[in-house]
Amino acid sequence: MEFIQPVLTIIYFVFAGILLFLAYSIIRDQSGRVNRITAFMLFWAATGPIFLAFGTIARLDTLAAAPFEESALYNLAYIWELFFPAFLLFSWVFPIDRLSRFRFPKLRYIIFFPSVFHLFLVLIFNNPERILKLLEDQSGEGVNSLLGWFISFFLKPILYLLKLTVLGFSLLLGRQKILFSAINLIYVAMAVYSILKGRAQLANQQLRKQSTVIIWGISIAIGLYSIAFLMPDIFSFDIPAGLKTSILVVALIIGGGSVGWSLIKHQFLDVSVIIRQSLVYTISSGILVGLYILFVDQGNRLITSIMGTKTTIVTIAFIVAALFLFQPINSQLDNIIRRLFLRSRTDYRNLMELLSRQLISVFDPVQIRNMVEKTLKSSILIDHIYFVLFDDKINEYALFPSDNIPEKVIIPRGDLLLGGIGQLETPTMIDRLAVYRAGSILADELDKRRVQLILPLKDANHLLGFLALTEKVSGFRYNAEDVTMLRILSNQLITILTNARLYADSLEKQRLDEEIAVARQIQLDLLPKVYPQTDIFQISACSIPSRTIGGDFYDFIQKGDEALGIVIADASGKGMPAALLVAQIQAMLRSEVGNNGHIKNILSNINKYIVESTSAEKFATLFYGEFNKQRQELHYANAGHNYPILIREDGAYELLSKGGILLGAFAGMEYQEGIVQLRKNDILFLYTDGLSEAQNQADEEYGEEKILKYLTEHRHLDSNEIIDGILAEVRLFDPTDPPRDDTTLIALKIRKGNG
Amino acid sequence: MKLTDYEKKGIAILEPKGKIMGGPDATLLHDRLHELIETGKKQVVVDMAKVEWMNSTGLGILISGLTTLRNNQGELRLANVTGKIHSLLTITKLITVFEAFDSVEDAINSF
Repeated sequence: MEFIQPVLTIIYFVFAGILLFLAYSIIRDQSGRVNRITAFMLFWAATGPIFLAFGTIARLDTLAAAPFEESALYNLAYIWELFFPAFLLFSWVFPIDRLSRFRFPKLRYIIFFPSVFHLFLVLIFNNPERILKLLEDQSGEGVNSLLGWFISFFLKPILYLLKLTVLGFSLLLGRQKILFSAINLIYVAMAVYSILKGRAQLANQQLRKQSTVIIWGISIAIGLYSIAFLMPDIFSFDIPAGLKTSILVVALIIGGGSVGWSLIKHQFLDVSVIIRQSLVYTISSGILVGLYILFVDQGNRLITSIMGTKTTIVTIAFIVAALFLFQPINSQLDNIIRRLFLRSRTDYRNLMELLSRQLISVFDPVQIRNMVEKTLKSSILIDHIYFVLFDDKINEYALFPSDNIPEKVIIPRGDLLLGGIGQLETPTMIDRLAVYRAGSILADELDKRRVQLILPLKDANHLLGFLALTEKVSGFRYNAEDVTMLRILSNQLITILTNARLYADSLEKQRLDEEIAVARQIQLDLLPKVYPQTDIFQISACSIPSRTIGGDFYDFIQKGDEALGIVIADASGKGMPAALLVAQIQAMLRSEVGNNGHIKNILSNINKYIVESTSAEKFATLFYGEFNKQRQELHYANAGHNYPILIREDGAYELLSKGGILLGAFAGMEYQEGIVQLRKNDILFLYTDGLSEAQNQADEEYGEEKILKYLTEHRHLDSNEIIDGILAEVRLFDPTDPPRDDTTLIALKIRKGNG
Repeated sequence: MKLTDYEKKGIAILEPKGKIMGGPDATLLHDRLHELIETGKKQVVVDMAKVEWMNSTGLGILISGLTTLRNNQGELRLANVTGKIHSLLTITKLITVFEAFDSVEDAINSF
């Protein structure tokens, strides 16, 4: 069992090294209080194995004159006891910082007093007899001078006092192990209680996971230590040395391991990825070195015992083997480490990839906000995240509700702070924006929410909004890694939010298109579907809107058996507003005609109604005529509409202009009624300006003259042939499709004269 | 459409140029007329000499201009109404409502 001592030495040194490295990692890029205290605790924890290692070395050295346990150097090992108050201190800041709320903050220094005193006791007073003897020598000297007398006069009581103290201390020294072990055990109990109490108050999932491992790891380690060292001292029982050492090694593995594991896997104390990765490399190389020493040592012993002489063959063999194996082992180890980090949610690059993959298919703003919030809370450990985004629904910036403040706050566009944020390009602490605070509602709202960091979301032209982040849990600061990640996140969010908005726009457009299609159908339904055809006349009509829906309409209204009402109208403007106006006019006209009113009254009533219900620039031109089949007379009134053309069999024509001003522009207008006699083969042609104002490439209009010419030349044709023919000719003249303006045509041809 | 205006004998003369159509044209002419009313200029002549064409929205602008001025005890008169514009005003019979003159001078003197 001789080899156990060097192996133990190695193990102690390796763990001391690991603990020191953990301490270093924790304060390297974070200097928060929790980090400082944790590092402090780990540092004192590391002194333990260091002295243990010294102890085993000393024991190996058989030439040592005195037993190591009795030397002053050995007593220096008690410095390790500073770990216990450090652990208690740690329990006051982790997982929840309660130290700042202590009513008596000096307590944090006082708890170190027993350990320091203990150290003082065992270092200075470890040999009280010697001190007492020293004091005796002093007092025994004769009084040679006044000065000597003076000194002895004052010194004597002090010396007596000192002697008493030393005697007291020496009494204490006899019991020191029990006393201070008990104090340390009480500290451990208090610390574990404090940590467990703090853990119960945790809400953040990530923090809970971290603390679970830490709490169990450290508690078990200290528990084991107490069983092996503190308890035997207090209750005076013995544990075999071998078992004692084994328990200590297990305690070290569990304690150090839990802190290391939490750092690596659960981002304990917010240590950056690089440090965490290098930590894994350090630990693994430490283990490799340990194995090397173990193998070489064992191999040497084995070979020495067989061959009888010491040989370096094992060392050489190991180095050769290591040279062959180092590369594959190293790359294997590298793979394991990489997988460890890739799988974890702590690698920012992976996290971003994951988030963007999830978000790319999400267009619901609420869902986007929830996912971003969840990710940031678990990966950067942010307490709360607030979103201020431009809300398309209300056309304003809004501070959206969050888990803790459920109200939505509208931020005025002129808000000074909002303007200031609009200037930002990168994540910025809110303190830097102090110049924009005056009178800002946003500043008040953000203060209320304890916002610290602003993450602007800006596309090429304008501010989409921003993310407002509070401080991180346990009061950690934002480090460079966080800011880099937040910057990447903000860029992705800009794309995602823009996509979501485009998607919403396209949905809106689709909905509008559907509505317009319905309106188009309504408009088509309002046009006559069956044309009145008799042996007396034939009638054809056609209406082509320049947009999906138009401002033209025509209608045929049966007035008893003897008369047919014909109407053509054109409302000002195009599209939906024009369509609404013509629908109104058509309804009014049908109702007026149904009331058997005079034509001129019908038009002045409609005029009155439109003037009252719309603004002056909404108007319509309209021609209404009633064709009496018996008398073959057309009674009509023209309200500002393109003159319908009546073309006779012999080519003579009349323009039906009588009536009055267009409808809806001026109040109190009167209309006149015209009468024309229709005869066999006469054609009455009605149209809207979409036909006469068709333009060719030279910007010439088709015009009334060409219409008249066409009608004259084709007056022998049927009504439907005339409609088709003139549309074809206009299409040749102006191929714009759909036409520039709504185009409506009606042709009425008399087939039978009445005399 | 381009719009310039000047004043002569206390009467504002507007000179639209090009095509009076919908869109920004409508607001331009409308806003200018309202500015004139606010500054107390309620007698306006619109010189149509350089107007190439006017659609129904353009007509609407003139109609609402006339209505607005009349509601404010003002008056809008047209000058140099020729060709297509004249026939448009004839067909719609707006010529019976607008007073149109052969020259800006005549229009000014008519007030």
